[in-house]
Amino acid sequence: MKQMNKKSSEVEIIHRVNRIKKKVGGAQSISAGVIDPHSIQRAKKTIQNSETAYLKEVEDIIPELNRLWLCLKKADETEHRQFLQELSRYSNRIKDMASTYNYELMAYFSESLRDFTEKTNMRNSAHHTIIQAHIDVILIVHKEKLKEQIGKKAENLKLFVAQAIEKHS
Amino acid sequence: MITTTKKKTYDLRGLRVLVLEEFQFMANLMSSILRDFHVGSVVATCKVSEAMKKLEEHNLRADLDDRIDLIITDLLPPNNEGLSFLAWVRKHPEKDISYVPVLFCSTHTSMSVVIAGRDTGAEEIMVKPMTAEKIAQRLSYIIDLPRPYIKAPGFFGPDRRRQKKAFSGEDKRAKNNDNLRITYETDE
Repeated sequence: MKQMNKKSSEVEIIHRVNRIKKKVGGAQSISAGVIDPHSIQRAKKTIQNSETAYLKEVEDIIPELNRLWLCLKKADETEHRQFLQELSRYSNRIKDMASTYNYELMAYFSESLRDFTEKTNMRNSAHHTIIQAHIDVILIVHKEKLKEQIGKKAENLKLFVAQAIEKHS
Repeated sequence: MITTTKKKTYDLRGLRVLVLEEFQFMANLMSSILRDFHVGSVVATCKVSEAMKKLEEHNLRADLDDRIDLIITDLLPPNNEGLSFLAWVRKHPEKDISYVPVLFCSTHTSMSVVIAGRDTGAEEIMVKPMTAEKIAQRLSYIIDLPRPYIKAPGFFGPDRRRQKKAFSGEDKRAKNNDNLRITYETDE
Protein backbone atom coordinates (compact mmCIF):
# COMPACT_ATOMS: atom_id res chain seq x y z
CA MET A 1 0.00 0.00 0.00
CA LYS A 2 2.80 2.35 1.02
CA GLN A 3 4.64 1.43 -2.16
CA MET A 4 1.54 2.25 -4.20
CA ASN A 5 1.17 5.67 -2.56
CA LYS A 6 4.81 6.42 -3.20
CA LYS A 7 4.41 5.54 -6.86
CA SER A 8 1.34 7.71 -7.25
CA SER A 9 3.06 10.77 -5.80
CA GLU A 10 6.38 10.24 -7.56
CA VAL A 11 7.86 13.12 -9.50
CA GLU A 12 10.29 12.41 -12.29
CA ILE A 13 12.52 15.05 -13.84
CA ILE A 14 13.60 13.96 -17.28
CA HIS A 15 16.57 15.65 -18.94
CA ARG A 16 16.23 15.00 -22.63
CA VAL A 17 18.86 15.01 -25.32
CA ASN A 18 18.46 18.28 -27.20
CA ARG A 19 17.73 16.70 -30.58
CA ILE A 20 16.38 19.86 -32.14
CA LYS A 21 19.61 21.74 -31.41
CA LYS A 22 21.67 18.93 -32.87
CA LYS A 23 19.51 18.96 -35.96
CA VAL A 24 20.06 22.67 -36.58
CA GLY A 25 23.80 22.34 -36.25
CA GLY A 26 24.43 23.22 -32.63
CA ALA A 27 26.17 20.71 -30.42
CA GLN A 28 24.64 20.43 -26.95
CA SER A 29 27.55 22.00 -25.14
CA ILE A 30 27.94 25.20 -27.12
CA SER A 31 26.26 28.48 -26.28
CA ALA A 32 23.17 29.98 -27.84
CA GLY A 33 23.03 30.54 -31.57
CA VAL A 34 20.84 32.76 -33.71
CA ILE A 35 18.26 32.51 -36.45
CA ASP A 36 19.72 34.18 -39.53
CA PRO A 37 18.90 37.92 -39.20
CA HIS A 38 18.54 38.16 -43.00
CA SER A 39 15.86 35.52 -42.95
CA ILE A 40 14.02 37.44 -40.23
CA GLN A 41 14.10 40.54 -42.45
CA ARG A 42 12.81 38.44 -45.34
CA ALA A 43 9.94 37.17 -43.20
CA LYS A 44 9.10 40.74 -42.16
CA LYS A 45 8.86 41.66 -45.83
CA THR A 46 6.64 38.65 -46.47
CA ILE A 47 4.21 39.95 -43.85
CA GLN A 48 4.33 43.49 -45.26
CA ASN A 49 3.82 42.26 -48.81
CA SER A 50 0.72 40.29 -47.91
CA GLU A 51 -1.16 43.30 -46.55
CA THR A 52 -3.31 43.47 -49.70
CA ALA A 53 -4.30 39.86 -49.16
CA TYR A 54 -5.33 40.79 -45.61
CA LEU A 55 -7.65 43.52 -46.92
CA LYS A 56 -9.20 41.07 -49.37
CA GLU A 57 -9.63 38.44 -46.66
CA VAL A 58 -11.44 40.88 -44.36
CA GLU A 59 -13.57 41.98 -47.29
CA ASP A 60 -14.66 38.36 -47.64
CA ILE A 61 -15.29 37.88 -43.93
CA ILE A 62 -17.50 40.94 -43.42
CA PRO A 63 -20.44 39.56 -45.50
CA GLU A 64 -20.03 36.34 -43.54
CA LEU A 65 -20.35 38.31 -40.28
CA ASN A 66 -23.51 39.93 -41.64
CA ARG A 67 -24.92 36.61 -42.79
CA LEU A 68 -24.28 35.00 -39.42
CA TRP A 69 -25.82 37.93 -37.63
CA LEU A 70 -29.00 37.72 -39.75
CA CYS A 71 -29.21 33.97 -39.14
CA LEU A 72 -28.67 34.47 -35.43
CA LYS A 73 -31.49 37.00 -35.19
CA LYS A 74 -33.89 34.57 -36.89
CA ALA A 75 -32.59 31.47 -35.14
CA ASP A 76 -34.35 29.34 -32.61
CA GLU A 77 -33.09 29.72 -29.05
CA THR A 78 -31.46 26.30 -29.19
CA GLU A 79 -29.24 27.50 -32.05
CA HIS A 80 -28.12 30.77 -30.44
CA ARG A 81 -24.99 29.37 -28.87
CA GLN A 82 -23.82 27.83 -32.13
CA PHE A 83 -24.29 31.07 -34.10
CA LEU A 84 -22.69 33.17 -31.38
CA GLN A 85 -19.67 30.88 -31.43
CA GLU A 86 -19.44 31.33 -35.19
CA LEU A 87 -19.61 35.11 -34.78
CA SER A 88 -16.90 34.88 -32.16
CA ARG A 89 -14.77 32.73 -34.46
CA TYR A 90 -15.01 35.17 -37.37
CA SER A 91 -14.38 38.24 -35.24
CA ASN A 92 -11.35 36.49 -33.77
CA ARG A 93 -10.08 35.84 -37.29
CA ILE A 94 -10.32 39.52 -38.09
CA LYS A 95 -8.59 40.40 -34.82
CA ASP A 96 -5.79 37.90 -35.55
CA MET A 97 -5.10 39.32 -39.00
CA ALA A 98 -5.69 42.98 -38.19
CA SER A 99 -3.21 42.95 -35.33
CA THR A 100 -0.63 41.21 -37.54
CA TYR A 101 -0.86 44.03 -40.11
CA ASN A 102 -1.07 46.80 -37.51
CA TYR A 103 -4.68 47.66 -38.26
CA GLU A 104 -5.13 48.64 -34.63
CA LEU A 105 -8.63 50.05 -34.88
CA MET A 106 -9.93 46.95 -36.67
CA ALA A 107 -8.21 44.76 -34.08
CA TYR A 108 -9.84 46.81 -31.32
CA PHE A 109 -13.40 46.45 -32.64
CA SER A 110 -13.10 42.82 -33.68
CA GLU A 111 -11.71 41.91 -30.27
CA SER A 112 -14.51 43.84 -28.62
CA LEU A 113 -17.10 41.98 -30.74
CA ARG A 114 -15.45 38.63 -30.01
CA ASP A 115 -15.49 39.30 -26.28
CA PHE A 116 -19.06 40.59 -26.36
CA THR A 117 -20.36 37.46 -28.13
CA GLU A 118 -19.18 35.47 -25.13
CA LYS A 119 -21.69 37.24 -22.90
CA THR A 120 -24.47 38.00 -25.36
CA ASN A 121 -28.00 37.15 -24.34
CA MET A 122 -30.15 37.05 -27.46
CA ARG A 123 -33.31 37.50 -25.38
CA ASN A 124 -32.02 40.96 -24.51
CA SER A 125 -32.77 43.18 -27.51
CA ALA A 126 -30.25 45.75 -26.28
CA HIS A 127 -27.53 43.21 -27.00
CA HIS A 128 -28.71 43.11 -30.62
CA THR A 129 -28.00 46.83 -30.89
CA ILE A 130 -24.51 46.37 -29.49
CA ILE A 131 -23.64 43.61 -31.96
CA GLN A 132 -25.08 45.60 -34.84
CA ALA A 133 -23.00 48.64 -33.78
CA HIS A 134 -19.85 46.52 -33.85
CA ILE A 135 -20.58 45.10 -37.31
CA ASP A 136 -21.34 48.60 -38.63
CA VAL A 137 -18.07 50.09 -37.37
CA ILE A 138 -16.06 47.09 -38.63
CA LEU A 139 -17.49 47.74 -42.08
CA ILE A 140 -16.62 51.46 -41.91
CA VAL A 141 -13.09 50.84 -40.62
CA HIS A 142 -12.47 48.39 -43.43
CA LYS A 143 -13.99 50.56 -46.17
CA GLU A 144 -11.98 53.59 -45.10
CA LYS A 145 -8.85 51.52 -44.38
CA LEU A 146 -8.50 53.18 -40.97
CA LYS A 147 -5.41 51.86 -39.24
CA GLU A 148 -4.76 53.69 -36.03
CA GLN A 149 -6.81 54.09 -32.91
CA ILE A 150 -6.04 57.77 -32.74
CA GLY A 151 -7.61 60.51 -34.87
CA LYS A 152 -11.02 62.09 -34.92
CA LYS A 153 -12.75 59.41 -36.99
CA ALA A 154 -11.36 56.61 -34.88
CA GLU A 155 -12.35 58.38 -31.67
CA ASN A 156 -15.88 58.95 -32.97
CA LEU A 157 -16.31 55.31 -33.93
CA LYS A 158 -15.01 54.16 -30.57
CA LEU A 159 -17.38 56.56 -28.87
CA PHE A 160 -20.27 55.26 -30.97
CA VAL A 161 -19.68 51.67 -29.82
CA ALA A 162 -18.94 52.70 -26.24
CA GLN A 163 -22.23 54.61 -26.09
CA ALA A 164 -24.13 51.63 -27.54
CA ILE A 165 -22.62 49.40 -24.87
CA GLU A 166 -23.26 51.88 -22.07
CA LYS A 167 -26.81 52.60 -23.13
CA HIS A 168 -27.89 49.05 -23.86
CA SER A 169 -25.97 46.74 -21.56
CA MET B 1 40.91 44.06 -25.06
CA ILE B 2 37.31 43.27 -25.74
CA THR B 3 36.68 40.09 -27.63
CA THR B 4 33.34 39.35 -29.21
CA THR B 5 32.24 35.88 -30.13
CA LYS B 6 30.16 35.59 -33.22
CA LYS B 7 27.06 33.53 -32.54
CA LYS B 8 26.43 30.51 -34.67
CA THR B 9 23.63 30.88 -37.20
CA TYR B 10 21.36 27.90 -37.03
CA ASP B 11 20.61 25.92 -40.14
CA LEU B 12 16.91 25.13 -40.02
CA ARG B 13 16.79 23.18 -43.30
CA GLY B 14 16.65 19.86 -41.49
CA LEU B 15 13.61 20.84 -39.43
CA ARG B 16 10.05 19.74 -40.05
CA VAL B 17 7.39 21.90 -38.39
CA LEU B 18 3.70 21.14 -37.98
CA VAL B 19 1.50 24.27 -38.05
CA LEU B 20 -2.07 24.13 -36.75
CA GLU B 21 -3.85 27.41 -37.35
CA GLU B 22 -7.48 28.34 -37.08
CA PHE B 23 -7.88 29.35 -40.72
CA GLN B 24 -6.04 29.04 -43.99
CA PHE B 25 -4.83 32.63 -44.27
CA MET B 26 -2.86 32.50 -41.02
CA ALA B 27 -1.67 28.94 -41.73
CA ASN B 28 -0.25 30.16 -45.05
CA LEU B 29 1.34 33.20 -43.47
CA MET B 30 2.98 31.17 -40.71
CA SER B 31 4.22 28.67 -43.31
CA SER B 32 5.70 31.46 -45.44
CA ILE B 33 7.50 32.94 -42.44
CA LEU B 34 8.98 29.56 -41.54
CA ARG B 35 10.07 29.02 -45.14
CA ASP B 36 11.73 32.44 -45.08
CA PHE B 37 13.65 31.14 -42.06
CA HIS B 38 14.69 28.22 -44.33
CA VAL B 39 12.79 25.65 -42.32
CA GLY B 40 13.08 22.53 -44.46
CA SER B 41 9.52 21.29 -44.30
CA VAL B 42 6.26 22.81 -43.06
CA VAL B 43 3.14 20.72 -42.64
CA ALA B 44 0.21 23.10 -42.22
CA THR B 45 -3.38 22.33 -41.42
CA CYS B 46 -6.47 23.95 -39.93
CA LYS B 47 -7.96 20.71 -38.63
CA VAL B 48 -7.04 19.09 -35.34
CA SER B 49 -7.82 15.60 -36.67
CA GLU B 50 -5.48 16.21 -39.61
CA ALA B 51 -2.74 17.48 -37.27
CA MET B 52 -3.05 14.32 -35.14
CA LYS B 53 -2.92 12.14 -38.23
CA LYS B 54 0.14 13.91 -39.64
CA LEU B 55 1.97 13.74 -36.34
CA GLU B 56 1.38 10.01 -36.03
CA GLU B 57 2.25 9.41 -39.68
CA HIS B 58 5.57 11.21 -39.39
CA ASN B 59 6.68 10.44 -35.86
CA LEU B 60 5.76 6.80 -35.51
CA ARG B 61 7.90 5.85 -38.49
CA ALA B 62 11.37 4.51 -37.99
CA ASP B 63 13.00 7.17 -40.14
CA LEU B 64 14.31 9.94 -37.87
CA ASP B 65 14.58 12.43 -40.74
CA ASP B 66 10.85 12.20 -41.31
CA ARG B 67 9.89 13.30 -37.83
CA ILE B 68 8.05 16.47 -36.98
CA ASP B 69 10.45 18.34 -34.70
CA LEU B 70 8.21 21.14 -33.55
CA ILE B 71 4.52 21.97 -33.38
CA ILE B 72 3.14 25.50 -33.64
CA THR B 73 -0.50 25.60 -32.67
CA ASP B 74 -3.06 28.30 -32.15
CA LEU B 75 -5.54 28.22 -29.27
CA LEU B 76 -8.31 27.68 -31.84
CA PRO B 77 -11.10 29.57 -30.10
CA PRO B 78 -13.97 29.59 -29.26
CA ASN B 79 -13.72 25.92 -28.23
CA ASN B 80 -9.99 26.05 -27.54
CA GLU B 81 -9.31 22.94 -29.58
CA GLY B 82 -5.63 23.92 -29.69
CA LEU B 83 -5.45 23.20 -25.96
CA SER B 84 -7.15 19.84 -26.44
CA PHE B 85 -4.65 19.04 -29.17
CA LEU B 86 -1.76 19.99 -26.89
CA ALA B 87 -3.21 17.75 -24.15
CA TRP B 88 -3.51 14.91 -26.68
CA VAL B 89 0.16 15.33 -27.64
CA ARG B 90 1.37 15.26 -24.04
CA LYS B 91 -0.81 12.26 -23.13
CA HIS B 92 0.21 10.26 -26.19
CA PRO B 93 1.60 6.85 -25.22
CA GLU B 94 4.48 7.17 -27.70
CA LYS B 95 7.45 9.27 -26.58
CA ASP B 96 8.15 10.33 -30.16
CA ILE B 97 4.92 12.29 -29.95
CA SER B 98 4.50 13.20 -26.30
CA TYR B 99 7.89 14.96 -26.15
CA VAL B 100 7.55 17.06 -29.30
CA PRO B 101 8.09 20.73 -28.37
CA VAL B 102 5.00 22.89 -28.76
CA LEU B 103 4.85 26.62 -29.37
CA PHE B 104 1.38 27.68 -28.31
CA CYS B 105 -0.05 30.88 -29.87
CA SER B 106 -3.11 32.91 -29.03
CA THR B 107 -4.77 36.19 -29.85
CA HIS B 108 -6.29 36.08 -26.36
CA THR B 109 -4.10 38.10 -24.08
CA SER B 110 -5.64 37.05 -20.79
CA MET B 111 -3.43 35.48 -18.15
CA SER B 112 -5.80 32.52 -17.89
CA VAL B 113 -5.03 31.50 -21.48
CA VAL B 114 -1.29 31.79 -20.91
CA ILE B 115 -1.55 29.70 -17.74
CA ALA B 116 -3.76 27.13 -19.48
CA GLY B 117 -1.15 26.77 -22.25
CA ARG B 118 1.65 26.38 -19.72
CA ASP B 119 -0.27 23.91 -17.55
CA THR B 120 -1.24 21.78 -20.52
CA GLY B 121 2.41 21.39 -21.50
CA ALA B 122 3.45 24.10 -23.97
CA GLU B 123 7.18 24.74 -24.28
CA GLU B 124 6.71 28.35 -25.24
CA ILE B 125 3.74 30.67 -25.46
CA MET B 126 3.40 33.46 -27.97
CA VAL B 127 0.70 36.05 -27.58
CA LYS B 128 -0.25 37.30 -31.03
CA PRO B 129 0.11 39.43 -33.16
CA MET B 130 2.64 37.23 -34.84
CA THR B 131 5.76 38.98 -36.00
CA ALA B 132 8.87 37.56 -37.63
CA GLU B 133 10.98 38.63 -34.65
CA LYS B 134 8.67 37.03 -32.10
CA ILE B 135 8.56 33.72 -33.95
CA ALA B 136 12.35 33.72 -34.37
CA GLN B 137 12.77 34.50 -30.68
CA ARG B 138 10.49 31.67 -29.57
CA LEU B 139 12.25 29.26 -31.94
CA SER B 140 15.58 30.29 -30.43
CA TYR B 141 14.24 29.67 -26.92
CA ILE B 142 13.08 26.20 -27.91
CA ILE B 143 16.45 25.40 -29.50
CA ASP B 144 18.69 26.95 -26.84
CA LEU B 145 16.75 26.74 -23.61
CA PRO B 146 15.08 23.35 -23.55
CA ARG B 147 13.46 22.61 -20.24
CA PRO B 148 13.51 19.23 -18.56
CA TYR B 149 10.23 17.37 -18.65
CA ILE B 150 8.30 16.77 -15.47
CA LYS B 151 6.23 13.67 -14.96
CA ALA B 152 4.13 14.21 -11.86
CA PRO B 153 0.65 13.33 -10.66
CA GLY B 154 -1.63 15.44 -12.81
CA PHE B 155 1.05 16.91 -15.03
CA PHE B 156 3.35 15.89 -17.83
CA GLY B 157 5.26 18.47 -19.81
CA PRO B 158 8.15 20.91 -19.78
CA ASP B 159 9.18 22.26 -16.38
CA ARG B 160 6.90 25.16 -15.54
CA ARG B 161 9.51 26.69 -13.23
CA ARG B 162 11.29 28.69 -15.86
CA GLN B 163 12.81 31.47 -13.81
CA LYS B 164 15.83 30.62 -11.75
CA LYS B 165 14.99 32.96 -8.88
CA ALA B 166 14.78 32.45 -5.15
CA PHE B 167 11.91 30.14 -4.23
CA SER B 168 9.47 31.68 -1.77
CA GLY B 169 6.81 28.99 -1.30
CA GLU B 170 7.01 25.41 -0.18
CA ASP B 171 9.26 23.45 -2.50
CA LYS B 172 7.24 20.28 -2.87
CA ARG B 173 9.89 18.61 -4.99
CA ALA B 174 12.59 19.11 -2.35
CA LYS B 175 10.26 18.15 0.49
CA ASN B 176 9.36 14.80 -1.03
CA ASN B 177 12.88 13.89 -1.92
CA ASP B 178 12.12 10.18 -1.65
CA ASN B 179 9.60 10.52 -4.39
CA LEU B 180 11.85 12.47 -6.72
CA ARG B 181 13.59 10.69 -9.56
CA ILE B 182 15.95 12.36 -12.01
CA THR B 183 16.57 10.77 -15.38
CA TYR B 184 19.16 11.72 -17.96
CA GLU B 185 18.32 10.37 -21.37
CA THR B 186 21.05 9.41 -23.78
CA ASP B 187 21.05 9.27 -27.54
CA GLU B 188 19.49 6.21 -29.13
